[in-house]
Amino acid sequence: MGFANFKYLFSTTDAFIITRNTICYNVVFIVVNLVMAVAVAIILSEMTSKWKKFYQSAILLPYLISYVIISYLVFAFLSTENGFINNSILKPLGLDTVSWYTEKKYWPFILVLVNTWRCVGYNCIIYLSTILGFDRTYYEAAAIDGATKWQQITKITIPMLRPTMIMLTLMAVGRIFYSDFGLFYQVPRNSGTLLSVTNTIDTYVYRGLLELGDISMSAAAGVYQSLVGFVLVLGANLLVRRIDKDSALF
Amino acid sequence: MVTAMAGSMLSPVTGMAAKNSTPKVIVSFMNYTGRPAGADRIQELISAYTEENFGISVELLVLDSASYNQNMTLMLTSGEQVDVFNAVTLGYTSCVNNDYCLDLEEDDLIATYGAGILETLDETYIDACRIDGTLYGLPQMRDMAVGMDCFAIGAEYLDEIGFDYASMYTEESSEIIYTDIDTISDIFAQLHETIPDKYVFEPSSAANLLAQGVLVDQVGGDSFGVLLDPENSLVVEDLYSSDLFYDLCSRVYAWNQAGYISQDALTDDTAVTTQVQAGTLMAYSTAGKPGIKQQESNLCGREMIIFQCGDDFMKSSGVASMPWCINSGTEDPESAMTILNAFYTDSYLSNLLCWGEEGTEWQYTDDGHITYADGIDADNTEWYNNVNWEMPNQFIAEIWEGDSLDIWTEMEAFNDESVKSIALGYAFDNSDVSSTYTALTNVYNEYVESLLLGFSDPDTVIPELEEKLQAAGLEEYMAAKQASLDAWAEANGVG
Amino acid sequence: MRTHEEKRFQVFGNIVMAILSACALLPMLLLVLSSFTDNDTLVQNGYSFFPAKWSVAAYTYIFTSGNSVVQAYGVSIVLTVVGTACSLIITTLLAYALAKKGLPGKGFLNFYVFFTMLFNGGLVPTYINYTNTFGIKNSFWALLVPNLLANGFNIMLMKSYFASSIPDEILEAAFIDGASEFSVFSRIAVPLAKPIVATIGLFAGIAYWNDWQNGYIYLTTRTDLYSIQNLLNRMIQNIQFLTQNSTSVGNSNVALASIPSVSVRMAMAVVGVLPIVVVYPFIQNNFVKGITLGGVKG
Repeated sequence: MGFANFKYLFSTTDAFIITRNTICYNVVFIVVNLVMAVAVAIILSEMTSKWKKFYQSAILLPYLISYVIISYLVFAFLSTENGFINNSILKPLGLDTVSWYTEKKYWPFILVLVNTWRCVGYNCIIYLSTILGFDRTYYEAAAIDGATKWQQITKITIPMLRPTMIMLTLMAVGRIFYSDFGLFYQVPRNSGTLLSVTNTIDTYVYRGLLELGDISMSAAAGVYQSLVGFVLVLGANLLVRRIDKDSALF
Repeated sequence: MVTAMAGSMLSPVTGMAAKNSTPKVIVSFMNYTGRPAGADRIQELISAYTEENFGISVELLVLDSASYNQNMTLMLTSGEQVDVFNAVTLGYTSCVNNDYCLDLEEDDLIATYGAGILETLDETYIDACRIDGTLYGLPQMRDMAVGMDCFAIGAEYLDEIGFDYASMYTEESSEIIYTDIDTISDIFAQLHETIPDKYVFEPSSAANLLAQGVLVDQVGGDSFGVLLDPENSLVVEDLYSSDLFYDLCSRVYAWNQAGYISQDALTDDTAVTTQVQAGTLMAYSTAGKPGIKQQESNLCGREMIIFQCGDDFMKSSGVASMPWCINSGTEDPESAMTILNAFYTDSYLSNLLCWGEEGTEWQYTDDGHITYADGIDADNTEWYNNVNWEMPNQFIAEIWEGDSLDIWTEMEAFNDESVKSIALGYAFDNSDVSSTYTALTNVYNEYVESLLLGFSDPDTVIPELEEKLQAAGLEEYMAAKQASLDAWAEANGVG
Repeated sequence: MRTHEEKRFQVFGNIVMAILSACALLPMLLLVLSSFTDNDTLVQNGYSFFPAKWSVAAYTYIFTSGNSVVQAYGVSIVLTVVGTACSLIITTLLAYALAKKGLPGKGFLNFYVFFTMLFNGGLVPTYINYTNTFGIKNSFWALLVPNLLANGFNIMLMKSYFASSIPDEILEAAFIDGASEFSVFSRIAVPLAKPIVATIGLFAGIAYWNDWQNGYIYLTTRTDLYSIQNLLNRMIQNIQFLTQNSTSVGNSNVALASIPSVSVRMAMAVVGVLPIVVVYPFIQNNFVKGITLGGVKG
C-alpha cells in the first residue's frame, strides 16, 4: 500500500534512462511533427493540381496500419540477412552490411523517421481544415497590395494558424510522459541490445510486469504519467496566457 | 416476448421450474488461438452430459493465450462469475497472493466431491502444489519432466552427410538417440560444409534454450538465483556467473561465429518449425518427452531425428506451472469440485475437451487410434486440440494416430524415472522484492537473449551482465529467495 | 511576376508532395506484394519487391475457410458507421454549446473536458464500471460506448473552430430573424463548419476502425463481434506470446504451426486498410476551400 507501488519507477538505475528517453523522443516528435504537418498542410491548401487528393490520401495511409504490421515492414527494410537496405542498397555500393537491430546509434533517427512517416498525413488534416476555413478576403486584399506567396504564407496563414498550433502543442505536452507502445516495443522487435535507446516508461512497465502480473504497479505508473503531464500542461498554459491570452487552453 | 412470458407463466405448471435453479459452473482455460468455432456446440454436449449425471450445467470460457492473463485478471478482480480456471500464464503464486484460489481441502471439499482426483493423481504431485501447506490447485496428467539438451535434426540432411542414425537407437529408446554435445557439434560442422545455403541451427527461443540447456533448477520460477545442483543441494546460487552458463553461451557463440545461425535470429519471429518446413533451417533445440519425434516430424513436414544430450529432469516448478484452481469467490464450490472431478475421471468428458465431438471432429481408425473425421483437416476443424497438456486428464482420452498406443504408460514412466529437483513443490513469493525483480528483468532483457543466440561474446559480455545484475540488486533478491527456500525446506522436512 | 511565382510554387509543391507520397506508399506496396507472395518464399527470402513466387493462397484462406474474417469485416463496417455518426452528434452538440460566449460555468466546463483527456481511471476501474455497473461486456455496446466517451480532443478542436471561424454576427442575424437555437445550430453553424466536421468525422471513423483494445478486453465469448483489427491483433499477439513464453506453456511449436502464416497476416492488414482508402476520397470533397463570409465586413 501507499507509495510502495511507485518505488520501482524511481529507485532503479534504469529510471533515469527511461525518463530521459520518453521526454527526449516526445520533444523531438512535437517539434518535427509540428513543422512537417504545418508545412504539408500549407502546401496542400495552396495546390491546384489535380493530384491533390491523391497526395492527401497517400500520406494518410501509413496511419491506418497498426504498429505490429509496421514492425514487419521495417524488418523487411532492416533485416540483416534479407533486408532491402542491406541487400539492395549497401551491397551493390560495396559497403559493409549493418546489423541494424544491434546497433544503438541509428535508432533515434529510425524511430523519429517511422513516427513522422506514420503521423504526418494524420496530423496535417487538422491544420488543413483550419486553413481552409480562413476568410479568403485577407488573401485577396494582400494580393492586391502586391504581397508574394511567401509573404502571404508567413504573414497571414501562419499567424492565423497560431492558436491551433499552440492548442495542439499544449495537448501534446500533456502527454509527454506517455509513449506510443507500438513504436517503442514492436518496431525495434523487442531487441535487448537496443534497450538503452528504445526503452520508455510504458515499455519498461510492460516488460517488468509481464511476469509479475501486478495491476497496482502498472496503475501506479499510469498515475505518475498523468500527474506529470498535467502539471506540465498547467505550467505551459500559464506561460501561454502571459503571452497571448486567447490562445490558452483554459 | 409473448411466448417468453407465456413460457414463464406455464413453467410452474409443467414442473420446469427446476431448470431455473440448475447450478452453473463456468470453466475457463486458454487455447492458443482463442475460442474455437465449435465451442458452443462442445459446451452444449458437455453441459447435457453433466446435467444428466450431476444436475449441473457447464459453460466454457475459452480465451486467447495472449489475452488470457489480462482477461482472467480483470474477471477475477471484478468479481464476475468464474468457477473453475487454469492458472496458466497467471502465475500460481500470484493467484494465491491475490486470493483468487480456494483452499481445496476446506470443509473436506476435495475429499467429499473430488475423491476421483485424489485417486488419479500421484500424491507427490498433489503435494507439489501446496503453498505453505495449503492445497490451492491441482496438477494435470502430462509430461512433467523435460528431456534436457535435445536437438531435432532433419533426417534428409543427416542422410546427405552420411550420418548413420538408424544404428544409434537402442532397445530401450526407439524414439530418441542419446548422445553428447561433441557429436552434435560434429554433425553441425558437417552439415554446414555439405549444405552451405541453409542455416544449420537455431534455438527455438532464447528462454527455451536456457530452460532446456543447463541442468539447473530455476527455483522460484525465475533465473535470478538457481539451484546449480538440483538433485542434492538447496543452496541458491547465481546462474550467470556459473560455468554451466558460460559453457552454454560459448557453445552457441562458437556456432554463431561459424555461421550456423541466421543473423536475423534475434529479431525474426518466424517459428523454427516453419523455417524447417520451408526448407531454410536444418536443426533446432527442443525438449524431449515421449511422442516428441512424431510431434516434431508432423510440424516440420518431414522426418526429424531427435538427439538428447542431457538427462530427463523435473524442475521444482514443473508440476505446479499450470494448475487447475477453483475461484475463491465462487458461490457453489461443491458443484465446481464435482465438475472438476468429472473432468479428471470421465473419459467421455475428457474426449470432448481434448478432441471434440466424435463423428464431427474425429473418428476411430482400425487400430484403436483416432484421426480426423471425414472432410475435416487441420485447417477447418472447429475444435483445436492443441492444449491437451492443459486439460485435467488427457491420459483417459483417445490417442491420436501416429502416437504409440502405450504413450501414456511411457509418459508416466518418463515422469517417474526422471531426475527430480530436491525443491519439488517450492514456490517463491516475490512480492516483497518486486521492484528488484523488475530491475533484474530489464537487465535480463538487455543482455541474455543475444548471449543465448550467440551474438555476444561471453568473455566480454557476461562480466558486463553480471555487473549490471549486481547493481540491480541480485544479491538482495537471492538472499530473499534463499530465506524463503530454507523456511519451506524446514516446514516440509526436506534436505 | 505573380503568375511566375505562383507557377514556381506549384511546381515546388508538387515535387515535395510527390516525394512524400512515394515515401509513404513504398512500404505499403511492400505490404501488398508480400500478401501475394508464396509463404515459403517469404520465409526463405524475406520480404521483397520482386517476389520469386506469387500466390493468392493467403486471400483464399481468409475468405473461405471457417474463420471469421468476412464476419469481422462486417462488424468493423457497422461499428465504424454507427460509431462515427453517434460521435459526431455528441461532439458537435457539446462543442457548439461550449463555444458560445457567455455560457455560465464555461471555464469550469472547458477544464472538465480537458481534464478527462489527461486522466483516466485506469484499466481495472474502467472495466469494472463497464462490466458490473453497465453490464455491456460481450455486447456490441462494449465496442461502441468507450470511444464515444473518450472524446475530449475532438471536442476541444471543434469548439475552438466554432469560436474562431464562425462569426457571431451571422448567428445573431439569424436569431434576429426569429430562428430557434436548434435551427441556427443545424442550418447555419454546422454547414459552415463543414471542414471541421469532416475532420472530426474522419478522426472518429479512423479511431473506430483501428480500435482493437476494446474488443480485446470486453469480448470473451462473443467471437462473432470481433472486428478486423481485433482479429489481426489477437493473431499476432498470440504469436508473440508463444515465441516469448514457451517455457511456461507446453507444445508451443504445435501452436505456432496452427496460427496463420506470415502472408496471411499481411493479407489481413491489407484487407484492414482497404475500406478507409476507398472511402477517404469521398470525405475529401468536404475539405472545401474558400467559404467566403461575404456579408460580414466590418
